Amino acid sequence: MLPLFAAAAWAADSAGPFALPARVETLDNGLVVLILEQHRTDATALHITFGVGSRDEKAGEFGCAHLFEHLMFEGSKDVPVDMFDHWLTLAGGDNNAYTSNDVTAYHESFPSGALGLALFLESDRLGFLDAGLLPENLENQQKVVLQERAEGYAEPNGRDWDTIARIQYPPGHPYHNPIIGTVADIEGFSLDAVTHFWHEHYRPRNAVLAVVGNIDTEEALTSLRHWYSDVPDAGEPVARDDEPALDPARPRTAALVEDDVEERTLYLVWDAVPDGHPDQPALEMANYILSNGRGTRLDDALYYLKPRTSVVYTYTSFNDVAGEFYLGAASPTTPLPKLAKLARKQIAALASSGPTAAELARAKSSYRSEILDALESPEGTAELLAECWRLRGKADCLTEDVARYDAVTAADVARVTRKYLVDAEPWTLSNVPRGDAASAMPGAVPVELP
Amino acid sequence: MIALSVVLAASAADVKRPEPVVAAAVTRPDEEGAGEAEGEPTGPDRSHPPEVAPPPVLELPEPEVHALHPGVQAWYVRVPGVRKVSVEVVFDRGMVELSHKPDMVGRATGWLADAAGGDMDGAAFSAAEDLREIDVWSDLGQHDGTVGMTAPREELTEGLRLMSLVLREPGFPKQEVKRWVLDQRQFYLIDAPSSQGILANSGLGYGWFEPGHPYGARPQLAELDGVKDKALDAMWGRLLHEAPATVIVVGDVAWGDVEPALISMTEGIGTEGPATNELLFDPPTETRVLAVDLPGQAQSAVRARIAAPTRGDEDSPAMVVANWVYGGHFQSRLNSNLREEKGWTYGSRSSYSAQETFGHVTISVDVQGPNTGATIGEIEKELARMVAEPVTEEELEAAHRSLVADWNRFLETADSAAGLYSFALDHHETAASLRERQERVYAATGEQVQAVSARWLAADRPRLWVVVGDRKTIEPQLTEMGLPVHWVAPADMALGKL
Repeated sequence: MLPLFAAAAWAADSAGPFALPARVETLDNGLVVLILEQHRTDATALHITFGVGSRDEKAGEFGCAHLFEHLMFEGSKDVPVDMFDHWLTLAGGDNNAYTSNDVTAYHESFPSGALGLALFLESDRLGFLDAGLLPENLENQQKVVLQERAEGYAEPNGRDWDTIARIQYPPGHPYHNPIIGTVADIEGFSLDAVTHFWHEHYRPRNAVLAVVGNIDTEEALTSLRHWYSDVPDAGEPVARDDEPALDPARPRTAALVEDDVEERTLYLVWDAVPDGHPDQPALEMANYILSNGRGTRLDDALYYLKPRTSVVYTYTSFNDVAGEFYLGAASPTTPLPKLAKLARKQIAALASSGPTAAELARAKSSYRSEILDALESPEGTAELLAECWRLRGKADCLTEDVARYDAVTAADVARVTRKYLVDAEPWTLSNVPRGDAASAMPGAVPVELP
Repeated sequence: MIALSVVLAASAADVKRPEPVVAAAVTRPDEEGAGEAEGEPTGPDRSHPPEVAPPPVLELPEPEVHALHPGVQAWYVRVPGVRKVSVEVVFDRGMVELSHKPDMVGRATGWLADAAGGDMDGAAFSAAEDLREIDVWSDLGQHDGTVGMTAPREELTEGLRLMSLVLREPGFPKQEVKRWVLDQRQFYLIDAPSSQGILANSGLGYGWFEPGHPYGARPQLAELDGVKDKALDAMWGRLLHEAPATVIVVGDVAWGDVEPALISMTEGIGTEGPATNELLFDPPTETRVLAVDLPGQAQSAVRARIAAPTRGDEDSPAMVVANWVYGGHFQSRLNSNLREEKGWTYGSRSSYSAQETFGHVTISVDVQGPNTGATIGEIEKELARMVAEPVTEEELEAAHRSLVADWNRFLETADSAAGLYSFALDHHETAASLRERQERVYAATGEQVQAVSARWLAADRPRLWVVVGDRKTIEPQLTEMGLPVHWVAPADMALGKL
């Protein structure tokens, strides 16, 4: 047996802990590939991100991007149905995928000896999926997706996030519709429609592929060139529509969901900024300072020291077109307007006096820690690499990106808190037990999902 | 693919790469040489999947053992290059030994010991951890207690200081204690009764273990009145002084650099004594169906539990494989049937838990209400197939490779590797015996898997079924199947009042 721990090598890169010194190549068909060696164990990860998400769906095809995520595992020209998972499992690997507003991503992890297999599988479905798309597989995955939707919506508070997107973003905005799709559209997809969707969006030039793990860069690159050599260049991706700028003063809706729950849940959501915006780091620091465990402002004020909530948290999402800053809080007894008032008081205090030096230092450390933890595994590193390329146009983006967060000042945090969370009104969603609408936010009206 | 041995021999410098340059690379088709005679069309051979080398089985090194004090030893493993160091103090006593059963004081003690330490309150302690990327945690199980810590190498001194505070002077601050008590009431009285998943899993636990057995102890909310800092302090003090202790150290740190701090940290704690034994437990002898009515719920949560070999049983390694083939992964027989063939579920799963005195296989799936009865039928059908047919060579090979890959992932970080050593301690095993057990799993044959399935999973073996959903939809289906159903109110199920 190999004495792993005695001999394992891990590059303590002199460029710093966030350096991603990946080899970057663009294949003839336009596919960008990023390769990084990481030799602590035999594990290797592949992550491929396509620039297609729910924002690319048109009326009548809501849910197509996500349904397609499922169809990508249902066989291609040389990979019969079920064999994608079967062959990868047989090699000791596993895989998964996700769909967001902006992208669809697929990731596999496997012993390093299975890299060729993983590339065979991935390249076959990128180049030749249409030859394997069968009506019976489409029908089956329509059922699975409907079941996925039903399971998610059946959970307490299971419809809340889709409802929030529906009120915050107006009809016609690409983030207005649920990523999972609508029942009518999911049921209505034809084979022709999904095939057309694949031709439009699943192109080498609309993807970035990262391989990280126990590999040799040159050998991995040779294998990549080999397996993608017959995948045709399908041309530039279909241009995305220029999204109309959101009117920051658009109407604020108070939404009401009466649910099979035992307590009341409040969501406040504000417009934030898209990814890459100069205010993104300061907003993220505000998020950590407001709620990140004992000693942070909302957690202490509403959960630990005066336990008025059963849970309170903030959360940010910075997407390609727009971003959101969320606050969530739940209580079995406190009326939601009271919760909103208490929470906003804490936010106003942060805007007024800014964070202490200790609060800001803790927030920065927590942020760095999350990135460093992700870099400990090939899977996490591969995803970060792909995102660096997609969002920043280079593989080795993290050092610079983290520096943006390190540069945030207390005044920055106070400023963005005031601008985005105090001077602007939030949208609200009240999720209350059936018959308890009186405890909801004033003027809350039922909002149905399609 | 480069051989692992070559990779492992590479120096750190070998894996450093210069700043990449984005290049419009000239693709050279068929560099791997598949059928590219001059003039012929080129391209990879897609007629079959490429060969895959078997994954290497990575070795779990035997730790160096050092004596720190009487009753306290240390397991030390050097892992060159990992960023963090993980340290755990594992006590070979838990709630069963300290208070005869898991009770609220015991649960609170394990949960809250890491909230603060020394003169620091909860806020200061939490900030000190976050500021230096340190995580200190505590846990009190049925037969073991643990204080753990991970920290970057450069923060190890501060990490050990904070860990020592939790270990020797846990604060049990009043705010955190009060909050914990509120959280318990919230969970058992509000969250659990409205959550299909929590109710279904509660049914498995309470239905399997009788209330009189310590493993089946029901939550007694009245005990929450006794959850006070003094009671928690007393429980923690007993853990420190009535249990043998082992310190695990995994990371890129020399023993000599941590030994003085560990000696100081563990001085006066731990005691020599016999190893803890798990309690004898007889699994249910009759099939039983517990159901919970959630009116209007479109989904049904279906769970099943069947007795399985104990950890020491010679059937146990083959049962690991049987579970993997049956429902242990995405491509398993059960998930292929229920999801990929029928589209009834987003996913199904089975798991095999093997303890010293008991074991069981648990099956979980959520489906649309009208498919509840048929799903139970398919679960049984796939169990019967495990009994009737040997698993294929292909299934065995897949199980082998996946289980090896899963094992290797334990070694990815200091934290996960320390967890594996801690698991070995909890089960009174060594690194060598864990490894030997893995090899017996890899060596299981198709015939052995079938025989084990026949002994443990056959239709005449008692099952516990738990179904949570809309009674109007579920009941006729269960009745048609001839299953006698015991209906339990959601609030009662949450508290184990069956």
